[in-house]
Amino acid sequence: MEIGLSLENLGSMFAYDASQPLIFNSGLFLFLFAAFLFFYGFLRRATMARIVYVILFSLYFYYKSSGLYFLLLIFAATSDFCIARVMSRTPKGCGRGWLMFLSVAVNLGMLGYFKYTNFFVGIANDLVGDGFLEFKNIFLPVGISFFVFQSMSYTIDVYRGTLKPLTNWLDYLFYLSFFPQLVAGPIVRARDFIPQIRQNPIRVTRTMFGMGVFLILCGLFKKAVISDYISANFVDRIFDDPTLYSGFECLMGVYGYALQIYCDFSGYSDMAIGIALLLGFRFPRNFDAPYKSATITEFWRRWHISLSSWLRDYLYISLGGNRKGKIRTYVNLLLTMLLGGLWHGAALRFVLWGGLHGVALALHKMWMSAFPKAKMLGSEMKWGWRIVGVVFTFHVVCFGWLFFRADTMQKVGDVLRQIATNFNPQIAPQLVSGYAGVFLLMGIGYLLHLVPRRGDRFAERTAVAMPLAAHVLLAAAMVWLVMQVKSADIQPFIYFQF
Amino acid sequence: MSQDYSRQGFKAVAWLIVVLLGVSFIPPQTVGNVTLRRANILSDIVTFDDPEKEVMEILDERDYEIDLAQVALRVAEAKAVNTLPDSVPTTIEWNLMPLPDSIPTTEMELTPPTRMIPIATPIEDFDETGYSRVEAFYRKLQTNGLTTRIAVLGDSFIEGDIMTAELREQLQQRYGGQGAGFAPMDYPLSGFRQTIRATSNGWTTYNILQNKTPAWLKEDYFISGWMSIPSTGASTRWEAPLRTGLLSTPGATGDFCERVRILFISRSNSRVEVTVNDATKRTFEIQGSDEVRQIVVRAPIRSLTFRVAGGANGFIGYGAIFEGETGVVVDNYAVRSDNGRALLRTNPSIDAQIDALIGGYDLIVLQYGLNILQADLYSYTRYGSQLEKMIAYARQCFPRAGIVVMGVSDRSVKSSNGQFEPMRSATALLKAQRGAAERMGAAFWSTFDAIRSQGGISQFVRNGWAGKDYTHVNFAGGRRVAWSLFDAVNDAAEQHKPIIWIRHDPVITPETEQEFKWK
Repeated sequence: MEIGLSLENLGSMFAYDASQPLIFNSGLFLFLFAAFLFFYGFLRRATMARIVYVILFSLYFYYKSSGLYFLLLIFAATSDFCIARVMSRTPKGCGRGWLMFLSVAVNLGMLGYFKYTNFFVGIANDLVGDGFLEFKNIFLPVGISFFVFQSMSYTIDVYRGTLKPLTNWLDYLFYLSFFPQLVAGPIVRARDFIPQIRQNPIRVTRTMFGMGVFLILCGLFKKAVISDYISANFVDRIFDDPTLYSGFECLMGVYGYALQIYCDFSGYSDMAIGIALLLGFRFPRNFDAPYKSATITEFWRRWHISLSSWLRDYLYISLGGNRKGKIRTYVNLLLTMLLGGLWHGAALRFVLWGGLHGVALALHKMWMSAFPKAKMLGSEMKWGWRIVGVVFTFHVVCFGWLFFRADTMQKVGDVLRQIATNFNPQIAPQLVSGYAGVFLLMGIGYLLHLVPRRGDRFAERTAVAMPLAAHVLLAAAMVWLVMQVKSADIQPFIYFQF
Repeated sequence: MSQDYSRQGFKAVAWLIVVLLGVSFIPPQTVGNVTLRRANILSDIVTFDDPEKEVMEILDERDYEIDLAQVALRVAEAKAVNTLPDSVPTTIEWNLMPLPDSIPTTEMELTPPTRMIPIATPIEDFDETGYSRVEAFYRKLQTNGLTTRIAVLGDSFIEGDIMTAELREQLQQRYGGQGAGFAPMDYPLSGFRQTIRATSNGWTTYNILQNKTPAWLKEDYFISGWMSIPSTGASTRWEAPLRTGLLSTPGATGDFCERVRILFISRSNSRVEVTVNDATKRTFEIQGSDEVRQIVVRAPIRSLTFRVAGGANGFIGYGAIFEGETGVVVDNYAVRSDNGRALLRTNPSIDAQIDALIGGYDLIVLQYGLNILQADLYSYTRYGSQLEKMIAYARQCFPRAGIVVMGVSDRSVKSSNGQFEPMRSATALLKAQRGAAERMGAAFWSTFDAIRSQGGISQFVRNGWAGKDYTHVNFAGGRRVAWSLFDAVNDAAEQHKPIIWIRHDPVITPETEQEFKWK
């Protein structure tokens, strides 16, 4: 066995590379995080130095994924910090509303320009005719949807008077750029986060440390093992060409995608929350086993909680919420979900996905008012109803995922047609044995998802009680597994005869 | 106050790195069927030169067992079918438009070809007899008034008309022709195919590689690999695709072909109906017989419906070939997960009968290999021998056709650091395929070189031209492969212009005869 050493890549590894963003499950992050933690430990009592140190690391973290656009992050922080300062000194009725409008305009302007320009160009061209407007080559800064929403939560809260504005610009930059949640959430509210910035000394309790490690490992397993493996080896190919596969394969593809997107999203969130815990910061829970929901309303209390509560507090309530009559409530729900859908991506299919959820939520609200004895949450229902509710809600959500994932409406139709007319369930044994790894992981994923809360608690307590050596060995085993999955050969497409 | 753990994070991560560095020294392992790679945390800067695992070629030769003498006998019998005194008519014609004036066979006036892919991947013809059927194909291709037929037999690489759609499109634009070629009677993947729309009902369809074909039907497969058994009233409707750009230029009336050949066997008397453009219907009474029959419909066709109105017992539907009066016809015969063994399981008599009915294939392309290729297998000599059998078999059934072996395509696998790199064993399979073509005096074309000349499969994946298994091209990738093959055909055609026999006027014509009488 020969060992080769090549250091020429070393320099470029640390430079901005859009194709190699710094994500938590990369090897480079592990080394950088180790170096970061080394100095961080010395700064637990040096508040200002710690703030500057974390900001610099966070800006580098952002630079690695988005290059010079880290300046945009600084701009967003500066703009909202200044607006909030001025707002706090402006008495009610003397232009506070205009300042609020300015903050929203700047934030949504940034988001609109970077994320939605080409979407609107496409719509304009569809309406007026091809070539009416030219598509622009615009870079999408990583995580812009998250930090814009975080920043808006700050100015809106200051406007509403529920939050006192910060007096130090660095504190605000710290809040907005804090690297654990910077690129993929959770959307941490200013009022939850700001009080934690100037802790002195920073304190990480045993529970925080144990939970942090537990969440990071769970997140790694969900994101880098389950999600990455089943997407590359099964789900992507079904959605690339649904008509090549039987209806049964398409249905499994949809179930697979439901698990993939949950594991991807919540896994990354878990890692962010875990990393923040290791640094002494507590984030709210972002996912709470959403596929256990027995109603669509419950689903939105368990799925991407930081986003759904943001939409509720800053969009739904701003639109009037349920205070303006039943019809307005339904309209507000629909509008909120349509915009929530658009937030996920600049394409009509995301709007449709949002619309579908909006309609489902409105229908559920109608159902609840028509049958006042009906229960809102699964935990309040009898077992039989709960199972029916969970299965039904899961399928409504899966139907929504179909729009979320399929890149054209034709593909949505193709998948549904294959399921309805070309189901061929007899290939199930072949399929499961042909894609043994995929189905094993899907089984584990759904099984773990359905573990009762007691089971989760038990695992969390065990993780907290473990000694450091056990944490390290468990983490090493997880990283080894992640590396095996990353380097495992892609399973060639299997085209079953059906 | 409880203990502070803020420095514990660094300790944990530092120890983790130490353990992972130690793990990097564990060499790759195989546990059961699972290969465990070296988990090298420093893979970007430290590399380990692990010895490559090599496996022996395992091939179940029973899958390829074939008695070529028996094949020859059955093909000879098939040829005799039409000459027997009590034979039933095997071709039933329905002309809905006037027969064309006979077109003199002249050389086409072609502009010099423009290469679509800058780097050429030539077709290597190993026929040294001086009577190369592949050369005859090039010459025929450039002759006005003739139909040149190409059959592409392959696996999922070309399934749903991938590659062949574009090859057909390009060849028809340059050398003339219409129609999307062969379409099965009933096909679970008809929704995927973009060059023809098909809806069918009432058929029970079997595939040659499935085990569920009833024993009494196993001997009745044609090279399409599909057969459909009707219930009474079973029907299939084919129509032009929505995106006409994918097919040969439609005619002025929106028709997409001029002639359709519906291929079937009717062992007992049956009654079938054919409806053209949803307007003109005709019923055919078919006399029961074991021979393959064809109904040839000539019309400006936009849609065609075939229905088995009676006598479904003993009826086997194969499909229909959509074509023009003259020019190029490209038939796609894809059988997923095939490696050539499906061809050897077909009925040579049926293959030969259909070949005779349609006027004979001029070129047979054998596209196999993806289902044989393995990352750690570097010798494919046994498979090469089986490929020789396939070439011999195709020659027996399609005696006028030149045979082109299409070498395996480029494919990538993950390296130990998770990056994709070319599967090196592909060149070993290519060698075996080229060797088989050479030994059999057939031709060879390297799909691998064609893809590599355009950046390789990794580039195809980046461009969205291939699936993320780094193996299968999609329609966009298939177009690029087809362009390369089209270039190769054009280049070869330039070297093999048609030989047109000049017809000299006879010395004594009826007129001169009259003259002499008069004198």
